[in-house]
Amino acid sequence: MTDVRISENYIHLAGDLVRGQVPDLWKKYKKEMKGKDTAAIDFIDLAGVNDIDSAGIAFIYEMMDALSHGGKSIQLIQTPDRIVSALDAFRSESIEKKTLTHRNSFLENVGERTLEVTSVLKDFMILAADILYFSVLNLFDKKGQREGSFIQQSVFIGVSALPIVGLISFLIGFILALQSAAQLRQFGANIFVADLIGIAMLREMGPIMTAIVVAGRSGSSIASEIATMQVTEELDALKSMALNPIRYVIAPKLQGITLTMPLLTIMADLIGILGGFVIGVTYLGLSPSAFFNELITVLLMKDVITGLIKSVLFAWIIVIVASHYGLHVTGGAEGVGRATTASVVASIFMVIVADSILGLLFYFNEPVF
Amino acid sequence: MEPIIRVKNITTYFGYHKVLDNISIDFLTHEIAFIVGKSGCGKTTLLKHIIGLHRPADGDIEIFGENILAMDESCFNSTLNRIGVLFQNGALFNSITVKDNVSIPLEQHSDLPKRLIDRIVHDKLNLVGLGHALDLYPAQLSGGMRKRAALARAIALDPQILFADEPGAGLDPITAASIDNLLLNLRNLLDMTLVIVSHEINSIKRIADRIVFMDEGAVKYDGDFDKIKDNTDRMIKSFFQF
Repeated sequence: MTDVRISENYIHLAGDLVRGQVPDLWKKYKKEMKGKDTAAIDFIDLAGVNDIDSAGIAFIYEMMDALSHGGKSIQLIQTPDRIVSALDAFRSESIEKKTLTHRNSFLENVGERTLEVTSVLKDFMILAADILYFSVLNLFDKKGQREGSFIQQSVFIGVSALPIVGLISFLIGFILALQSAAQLRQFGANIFVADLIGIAMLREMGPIMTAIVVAGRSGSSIASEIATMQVTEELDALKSMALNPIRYVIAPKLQGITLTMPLLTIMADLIGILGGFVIGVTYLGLSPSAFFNELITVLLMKDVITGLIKSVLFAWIIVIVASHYGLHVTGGAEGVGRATTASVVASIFMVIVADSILGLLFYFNEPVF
Repeated sequence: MEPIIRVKNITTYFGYHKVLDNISIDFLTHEIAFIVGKSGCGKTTLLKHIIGLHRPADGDIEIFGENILAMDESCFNSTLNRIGVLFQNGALFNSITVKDNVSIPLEQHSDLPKRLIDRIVHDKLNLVGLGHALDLYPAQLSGGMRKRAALARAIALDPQILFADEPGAGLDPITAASIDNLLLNLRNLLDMTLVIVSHEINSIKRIADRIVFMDEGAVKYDGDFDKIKDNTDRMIKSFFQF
């Protein structure tokens, strides 16, 4: 008969410790223990146990955890062989449970988190330095990189992004002009739509919209590719062949994006201006020559160059952030998805932060071009 | 006999968890040594330490008589060129063909002309029975073929030591046996030392010269397969179903 009995420093278990019996056994155990000193228990005697399943094992480990305090451990005695192997099967679960019970203090948590953040930042800076170093090195030394990978990456990141970047830039220029047209009309300042579109596209909207599209399109693809390579041990395979994964896989991506982002940005600037031009000519009644004369008058070389500097920096941010998340992936296919999403969010955030910093720098320190 | 790999008192942690606990093992030239144990016991972690993918918290690893933990990068890379690694899932690069996968080590670490590289790649793929699959992509291969292709890549530079992580995992018994035979033939043909991480008992029985049994990050048995039957450890008995 299934039973639990307490005598002196022993708990005696008997019968079938199976799912159907354990609930009653648990109630009886609680009743028996009421008013008794838990510290007095040293042994659980399993001599009378005939059968056990996971519910019975959970019952035993629960008792052991509840009765073990102050460094004292409860011994299982007279355990039949078949019960030993069943208990062994769940042993690791019990160990993990014990480690989880350790709770850090507030200061320990703050310290641990600070160390984690510092370590992530350090890794990020080292990765950035490595990627930039190998991208330059690859220009002069062809060993350690796959033939044609630079062109392949340039085509993927740049050429394939032309239609979407073009379409979005046109719409941005179009909407910007449309929204400002009504205001400008009130003051008879229709012609200034050319100034607004030109400056906005070249300084801000061209580089930032291109970066956002590329971060979403190519950044996510870079992060997921590297993360998948990490999960499937392809990067380990490269290392085992004495090849540096950063040089072999990531550096060509940085080279490709460094070449294509400024070109994409220039195209975005031009197509955005075209969007504004359509509104200027059709809605505000400007003549094409008046629009372009005004545009040429207001635009300076520094507007073009600051936009291009931004585009290169944004390109680097996208590749470095995507690589960072890709290389630090954990947890298989699910982890790849998480890394990809995190990479896109982080790169767009960092692009906007970098844009603000550069905006301030260029505003207060007029660059001499 | 002088050991070709010497692992000395390796200890390592993942966070606060000790995953390798003061491990010392010598692997001898030309032997087929199996590192075995239940999942999560630290087999693959040990392998990754030996091939330099992880650094231990403590201890030394010598390959060909030199401590890889004290080597500079170029010296370590030359050591890596003398070893081959077969990863659990093959780790083939999916965007390129089987032929290109096998060419990578040859293109990167030799100045051989393309024509000779192509011939070597062809020979290695023939050796593993994939002479017909040169232009296929990894996604077009079955599990067994993928392992074979990865094996061809691992032996592309004629390594003196081949490390294999679960070569028979996920394969049917016939394909797994053919991979075992292939490894045995390669050892004899190319005079290699094989260090294999596995928990496939049939593979162990078929080709193991020696067994290193691990449990919870420590070595519980290191010796001949024949003698392990006499071991009284409950975990070992239950693992081998003696």
